[in-house]
Amino acid sequence: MSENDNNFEALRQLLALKKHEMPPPGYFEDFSARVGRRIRTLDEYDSRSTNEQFQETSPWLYRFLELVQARPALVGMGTVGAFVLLAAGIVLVNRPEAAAPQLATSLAPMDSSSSLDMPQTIASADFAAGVSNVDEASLTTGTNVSLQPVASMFGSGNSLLQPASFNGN
Amino acid sequence: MIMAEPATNIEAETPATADDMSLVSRSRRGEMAAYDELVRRYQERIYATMYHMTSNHEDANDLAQESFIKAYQALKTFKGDSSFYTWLYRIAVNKAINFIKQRRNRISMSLNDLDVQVEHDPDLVALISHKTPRREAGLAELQEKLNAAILKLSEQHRAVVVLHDIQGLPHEEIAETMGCNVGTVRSRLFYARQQLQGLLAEYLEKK
Repeated sequence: MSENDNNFEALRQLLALKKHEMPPPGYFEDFSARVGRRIRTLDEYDSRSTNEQFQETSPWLYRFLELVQARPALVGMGTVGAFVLLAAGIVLVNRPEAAAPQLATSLAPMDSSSSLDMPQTIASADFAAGVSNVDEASLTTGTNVSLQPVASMFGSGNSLLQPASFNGN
Repeated sequence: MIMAEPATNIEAETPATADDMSLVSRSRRGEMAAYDELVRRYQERIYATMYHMTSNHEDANDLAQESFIKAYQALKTFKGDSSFYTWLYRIAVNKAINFIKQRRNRISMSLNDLDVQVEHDPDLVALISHKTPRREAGLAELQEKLNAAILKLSEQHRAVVVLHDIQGLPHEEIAETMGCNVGTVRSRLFYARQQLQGLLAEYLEKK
């Protein structure tokens, strides 16, 4: 025993009292059983809580996976069907000879009725309505005015849009 | 029965430690009976450590159970670099230290009874007079003062005193358990003993 230990000999004797402190009788008899029960309870809780948590967060996915487990053949057929429809759609879209006539047919009526380039009509209408306080350029009936979209509604201009132009013929 | 017999060199490769590894392997495969055997093997020492650290039976009970549960859950990470017992001890001591840090200002003692052999312990016979009529009361008072003094130590110093002076672990084993070097263990032990000596001066002088 070192000199350092000798200095604390009385204290060491006093600490010996701690070794005589005993838990209640029979405490250790079922200690390992209690630990085992808690381990099993935790395992069950972990597995159940994970399952329940998944069910709560993604109920549709949970039901789908349940369906996959219950009827794999049905789900497989459905998946194959969806894939075939998707593939057919892609093939149809990519066929230029089938898409071009349809597009031309749908655009044809619009050319005659919905053109935005109507300078004479608008200028005449303004004049006939007796609009006052308009500058000279806007009242000139011989001016070809092209209607174009407003550049911007909120201040900053859009570089892709140009202001209305006045082309005198 | 004396709780938590002082451990000798528990790091040495003995049939017990070799057997521990076999039980650990079986526990990893999910054999609860094997882990049950490991718990029964070390329950008294782990409980004693938790009890001496907290001076509270209920807290010690919870901490000991939680230590074994945590060890079971972490069995896959046990590489076998140290003995299972040292590894388990490390888990338990860390758990106790964290618990004490959290409950620093909410300490309450719930002391276990002294066993009948206390009156025959030669170390204690020297401290308590045979002739006093209130000898039992004197022991109870001494027990309370001793535990109160231990609770005044910081968690690190308390752990060193408990592991060395009460549990009987060697310095090297404590260093491995607490993740520090042997010099730190020695200096903490010296400081903790000095503190205890000051706190228990009146009882030490009675001798």
